Amino acid sequence: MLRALVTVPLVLPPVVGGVALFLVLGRNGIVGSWLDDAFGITIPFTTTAVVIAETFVAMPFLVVSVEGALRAADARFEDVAATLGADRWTTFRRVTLPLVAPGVAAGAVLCWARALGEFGATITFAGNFPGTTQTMPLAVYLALQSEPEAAIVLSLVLLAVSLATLLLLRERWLGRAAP
Amino acid sequence: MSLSARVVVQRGSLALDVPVEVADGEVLAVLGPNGAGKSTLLRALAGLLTPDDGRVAVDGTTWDDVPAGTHLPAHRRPLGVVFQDALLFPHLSVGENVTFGLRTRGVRKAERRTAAAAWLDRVGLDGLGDRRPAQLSGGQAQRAALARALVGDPALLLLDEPLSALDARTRLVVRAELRRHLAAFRGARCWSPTTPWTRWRWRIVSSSWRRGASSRPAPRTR
Repeated sequence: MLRALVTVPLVLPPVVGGVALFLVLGRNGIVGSWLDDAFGITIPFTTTAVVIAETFVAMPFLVVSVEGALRAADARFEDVAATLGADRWTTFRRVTLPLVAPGVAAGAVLCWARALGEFGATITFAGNFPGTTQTMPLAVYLALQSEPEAAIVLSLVLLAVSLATLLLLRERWLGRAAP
Repeated sequence: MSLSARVVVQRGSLALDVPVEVADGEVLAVLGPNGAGKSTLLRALAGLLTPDDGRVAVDGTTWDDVPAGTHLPAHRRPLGVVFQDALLFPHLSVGENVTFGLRTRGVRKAERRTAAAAWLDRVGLDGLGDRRPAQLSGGQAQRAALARALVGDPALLLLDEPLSALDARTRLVVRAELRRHLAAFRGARCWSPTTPWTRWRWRIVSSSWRRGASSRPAPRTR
């Protein structure tokens, strides 16, 4: 159930995700109206909204990656650690975490790359205000209509970042394909 | 240091009910076909598995007493275990692997270094402390695992078919070394050998403990 909830943004159209966030956290939303009444906090169309929207869309990449790493990790190492006097927390810190660290790192990079390119949920939930909620893909979209050259430059920057991410992860994926 | 235990475990078709008595410095060999519950018995003694009934006491200290609800978790038991595979932590160097048990018990780094060097020397791996486990051969890895199990001066040493993952020749070499190191070890030992090791004087407990299959044989001396 929790797993389905966490991974649903993976298959959900981002705009739908944005609408869902709006319905929950928007000024008249279920949680949003309470936040507004009690603390005077409104989330939509702020930088916080950008962070929430991108986390919502990109988090499944991290979760799925970490889950896979944890499943693949050999549980017998934890038994060994226990027989060597390590309690659960020590075992997690000194054994489990270092063993799954590559998976966590790869998931974090993928998650970050996905968040960087996020468009639909961001523009729906956070809008497109330069300086507060305008992300690079939004800027590219706007610039394309007025000054195509700027759009091309921004696109090239995003392309470079994406390629760098792939190069960074390539070794890991290839290593996995041919152990 | 002595071990006195009765372990009852019920797992699916496996019904284990074993009395175990090992005196100080004595070696107990646990023999039996695959699936007879040898590993299960050792896991229960190590505290990795809570028995369904019975009790485990080492040196008069109760580790497990199911009727009384006592269960000392594995990490609080002064024991060493060598598993079928060496299972050296791949992210640590060989030296760090050997001293892992000292680190969890709060021994200082300088002392750990000295201990690592001494133990690696004892098991014939001197100078290999900075290597990664992946750079060791199977026999070397298993010797490092033995050093790791013995480094904390355990009251009970459990060996779960420690030679089964090695090839025939390496097995002979490591077995000879095991005998040398174990002769110097003063605690109680439980050992699940791949092949009977007749040159050593052992008490043998045969593990045809499946209830119904045969009546429980009394431990016999050989």
